[in-house]
Amino acid sequence: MRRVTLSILLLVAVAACGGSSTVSAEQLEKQRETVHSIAAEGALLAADVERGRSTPPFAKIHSGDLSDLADRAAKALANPAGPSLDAERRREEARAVAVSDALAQLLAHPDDPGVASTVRRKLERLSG
Amino acid sequence: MKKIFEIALGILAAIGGFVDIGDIVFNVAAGAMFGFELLWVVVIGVGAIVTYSEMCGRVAVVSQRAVMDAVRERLGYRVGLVSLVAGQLVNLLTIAAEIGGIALALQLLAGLPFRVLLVLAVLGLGIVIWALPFEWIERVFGYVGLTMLVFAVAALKLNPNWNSVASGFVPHVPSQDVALYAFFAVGLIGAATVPYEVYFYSSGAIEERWTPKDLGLNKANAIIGYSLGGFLSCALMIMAGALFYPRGITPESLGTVGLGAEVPLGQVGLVLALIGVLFAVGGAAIDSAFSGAYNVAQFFGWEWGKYRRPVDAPRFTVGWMAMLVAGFLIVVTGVDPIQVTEYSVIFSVVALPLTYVPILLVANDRAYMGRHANGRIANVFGIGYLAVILVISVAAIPLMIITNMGQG
Repeated sequence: MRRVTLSILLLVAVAACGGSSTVSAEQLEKQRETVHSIAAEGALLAADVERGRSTPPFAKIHSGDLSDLADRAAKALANPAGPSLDAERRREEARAVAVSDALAQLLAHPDDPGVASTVRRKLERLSG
Repeated sequence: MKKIFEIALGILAAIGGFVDIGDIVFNVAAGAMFGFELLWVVVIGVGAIVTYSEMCGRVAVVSQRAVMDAVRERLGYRVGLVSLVAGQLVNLLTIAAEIGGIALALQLLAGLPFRVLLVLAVLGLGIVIWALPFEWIERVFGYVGLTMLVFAVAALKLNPNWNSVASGFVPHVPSQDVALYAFFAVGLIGAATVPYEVYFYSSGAIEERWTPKDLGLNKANAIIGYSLGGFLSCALMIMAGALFYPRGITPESLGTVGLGAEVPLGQVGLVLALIGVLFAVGGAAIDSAFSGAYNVAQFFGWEWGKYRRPVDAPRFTVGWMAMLVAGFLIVVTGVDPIQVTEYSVIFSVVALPLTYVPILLVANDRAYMGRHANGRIANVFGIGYLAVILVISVAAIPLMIITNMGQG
């Protein structure tokens, strides 16, 4: 009985470790959608800052939130994937980092239309 | 004329007071993920809250006892205790979510640190509840919450495809993502029917000293007020369906809701939207704090009511203060208020029958309600919506697990 319990615990532990260390095709697709969503939303926000249609506190807080989300996606994509997925995983990870960096620029300059214009173009390209 | 004016004021407060953080989160997320396809579910949710609010308001008016009081008396200690515990647990999650929502809205308005704003939010709520009379609290938050109507203007300005909007009101099931669709349907009904709303509504009827003469006012408040409140929910979903859905944007924070008003209406739209969210969620936080204190006091037969001085109802006063502090302690741990909101709505769905079944039973008790017991129409709607509530309460947790809390 004890041996069975230990085996089950071991299996659960192995499954848990395995689950967090590799990126599956499904997870990759999910993260791709997340990064696209953050980039598209960031582009809308940057466009409003560029045209003077936002407020600095809102632009600062929301771009910070979006940047954190992109960071989280980049971290999730940092784990290796299977050979057939790894190139794509690296591309998506780089895209998540780029989205996070662009939003961090907006966070640092929430009332600068020039910076917002650059960020908007970058995020529009990254969300494409 | 005075009566009509009073009814109009009550209805306005009910519209602004209908929407809370759960409605905001689920309506915007549903619109962003499914466009206008879930609008018909909002109608079902609003129908359920109208039916049961009218019922529990009528019970309160006729018996001069609020829901928990009547449940305890008519259905006994055990049923009452189960209803009390379930209601309180959900209330606790709800108030944590609402306090978190207030701090998030303040942060988007002022840009200050979140935890500082959490403290300010709780202190502000405490001072408002302590200092203002019941009618003022209800109406100030309800009226200023009406600035959320800016989302209706935003939805119009975004010029959605109105044929698609109209077809969204026709019940249907999509060919793909059925589980996710069902999860959002459950969440939307849950957000519209959170238990604190009926506890607060019936206790409010006692606070405002309604008599059988006010049964018409009760019906008008429930039907017109909540229906127009549902209009706000639809506006949020249409806004999200027109702006976020085509762009593949999935909302993850309250800022996305603000962006929904900012993109079509600029700074003015953004500020009005955030003020509306702040007051709607603030009002809901007060309602759920009161609801928690009402339930405990009514169950144990303590003195209760905001119309009493704090020294005359000390345990009730400590009750709402404890609810505020407990909500604050949950959200100050660093949990994401939006996630707390999602959990509060889904767990409230599980507990819904424990609130709604007793209301239906008491409202049908002729020995208790006399000639004001449920008629045929009230029972058709009551039983119909109860069937919906029972189905979603069983489905809520499995759907939460299958869809990874709506993440797909």
